[in-house]
Amino acid sequence: MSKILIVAIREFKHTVLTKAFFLGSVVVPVLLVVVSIGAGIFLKPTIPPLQGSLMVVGGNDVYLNQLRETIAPPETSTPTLPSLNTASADEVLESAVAQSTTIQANERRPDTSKLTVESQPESKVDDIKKAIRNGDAAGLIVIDEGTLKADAEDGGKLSIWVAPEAPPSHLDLLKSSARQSAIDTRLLDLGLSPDIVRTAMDRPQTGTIRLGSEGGEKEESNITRMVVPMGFMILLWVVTFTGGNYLMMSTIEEKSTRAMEVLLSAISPTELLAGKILGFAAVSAVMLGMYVIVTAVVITLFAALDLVSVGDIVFAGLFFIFAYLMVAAIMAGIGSAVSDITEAQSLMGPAMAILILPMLLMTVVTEDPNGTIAVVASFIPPVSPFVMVLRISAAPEPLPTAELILAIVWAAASASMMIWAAGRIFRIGVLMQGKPPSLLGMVKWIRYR
Amino acid sequence: MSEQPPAIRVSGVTKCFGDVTAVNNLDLEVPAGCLIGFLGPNGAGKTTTIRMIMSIIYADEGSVSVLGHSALDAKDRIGYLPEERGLYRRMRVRDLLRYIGRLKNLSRKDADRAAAAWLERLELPEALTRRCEELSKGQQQKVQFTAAVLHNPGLIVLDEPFSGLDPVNAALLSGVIRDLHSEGRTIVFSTHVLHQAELLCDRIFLIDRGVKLLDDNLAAIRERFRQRIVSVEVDGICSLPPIPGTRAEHVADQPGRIDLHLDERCDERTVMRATLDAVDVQSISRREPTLEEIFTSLVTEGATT
Repeated sequence: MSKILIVAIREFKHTVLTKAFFLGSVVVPVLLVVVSIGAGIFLKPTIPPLQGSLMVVGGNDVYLNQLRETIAPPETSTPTLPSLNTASADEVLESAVAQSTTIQANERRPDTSKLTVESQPESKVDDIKKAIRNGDAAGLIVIDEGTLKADAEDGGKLSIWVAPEAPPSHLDLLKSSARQSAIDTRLLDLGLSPDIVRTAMDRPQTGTIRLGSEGGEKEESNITRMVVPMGFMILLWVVTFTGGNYLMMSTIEEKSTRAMEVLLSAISPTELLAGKILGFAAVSAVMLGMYVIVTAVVITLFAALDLVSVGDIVFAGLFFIFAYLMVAAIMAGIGSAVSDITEAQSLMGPAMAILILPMLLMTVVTEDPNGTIAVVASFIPPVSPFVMVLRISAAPEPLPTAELILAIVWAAASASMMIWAAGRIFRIGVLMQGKPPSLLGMVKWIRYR
Repeated sequence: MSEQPPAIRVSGVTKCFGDVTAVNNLDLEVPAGCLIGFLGPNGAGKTTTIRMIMSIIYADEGSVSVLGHSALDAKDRIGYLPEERGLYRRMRVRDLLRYIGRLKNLSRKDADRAAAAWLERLELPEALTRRCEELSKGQQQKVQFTAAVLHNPGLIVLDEPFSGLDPVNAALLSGVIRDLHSEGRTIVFSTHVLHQAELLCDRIFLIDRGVKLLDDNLAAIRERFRQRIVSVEVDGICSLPPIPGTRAEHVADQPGRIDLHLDERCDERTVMRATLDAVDVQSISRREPTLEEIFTSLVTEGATT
């Protein structure tokens, strides 16, 4: 077996088959999902019922009827999801969000089945307030004069009094119901049906179809245009950065424990670096695989497999290799130059400033995948593979083949150059102890024979 | 019959780190089967030379050949014990030795077998299943030594092998090194403890500031630096009057001990008799310079020139 492979297997086994990796990469994400779902199921808030008499001062009969109707418990119906076979992924997602919002709103609504609405004269306001404090009344709504008129000055005013211990959900319901009833009263005053007006106010759904420059058309989806590319890139960033970080930590450990010299008596620095890069590439691939499986399960559940194309996945895989190699080269260079993690932090600052660039460019590139910034960034290592993944998945039309090939060749060449430079730094750095070099010093190491 | 090639041949090697010349035009030839002491003060260039022999780093000028091959090609036939212990703290000893063995081209089975046999020989069989961080300094040194000899190398380079060992274990390791030498292995042995080198080695190579000062058999060195010394121990408060034909030197840190260095024409018995007549002597004996004295005088001379 080649020595590179022996090193790679050791690095892989001693990273993946550890409690830390199992906890950090498997247990914690699974636990987060389980806790989120569990909290949703088991930790439902206990909302006390809103019951007793709700007193209204200054309201007419129409307002009182509207209020009784509005504040009464709703009929339990939740929006249904559109047919998975006929609806687009966007529609499915929007319906799911609407369904979830309705369910949450209903869960937070207090039970009002034992609530009565009573009209009271203004002279009784003080008595009602006392009754509210003693728990003998549910609340008081005072309507200023003219508020129920369609031409109310400044929209009019409603004042609501509640008990000292009244939960926010009671106050929310009283406020929204009082307001809604006032608007409905005004509409009825104008001879309009509130239900018809509400229906008329419903915003129509919009469908955007982008025309292809060489014929054809494609329905535009906000999810495929923004969420999927960003998801791809963040996944790529997290996985490559984690793999690179493992590589750096392993190199620092070997330097600080002086195991490096023993290794170098058996294997050349180039072979050692190659083995490490290969081993941690496998670690990153395992992580990527796990996240891809989880994502695949989620999008299958949402029947949204059309969000990603096979081509996107193939290119993401290809650029994952280049991205990993570039990040690994940076991390290997830093790991070999320092003696411990504290020293590494001083060199990590400039490295992070570069590695964070894809995150900063994410919105700009997604918004305009063929703009100048996106095109230029596609050729600046180590940002280029991340930007290319964004562009490929966000572009409404496939990128020009020539540009794609050029970007792939350029990324491969950049990754090779960076690995070569990292190898030169690694060769010198792993045997150095004491004060870590400056960035300029590391550049000088590249030129050493 | 063709003559066996030297185990190590270093020819005109120079190595610089920036402006510092660590090794300067160094020549060294280690005959096969030799046990050579590689000596020099701190910063002399020993580690740099050893690293070039191990092809961990490469010479700027000159060439290094090991066991008749380029240093890189001979990597698997060299055993190396670095000065500082280099073990993965959380790794179990068996896994560590298997990993090193595999890197030295042993099969997994052979590596396990050799590891168990060597730890048994070094009286540390129980360490096999323990983590490196659970071992004492001396035990770690034994594990490190096992990693160096596991693959049955023809050339063994030991940098301070007795570091961290108590006298009992130092004697055990000393015996093992002698056994390996008697089996025909070539051993390069770097140390600061010169009396150990004197006891073990049959050849000495001394460098200082990257330059060779001495390279010969121990017997030849003794002959070359032969000095007739009469060592006298007197009452601490007593001073020795000048004795014709001698140069008296008070031994540092040993009050009352005086070394009388004799001229070529001076007779030892005459000096001893004159000394006994002059003062009350607690002990008097003849002796030859130790390796430490030769080392110190050469390095001091080198520093002043």
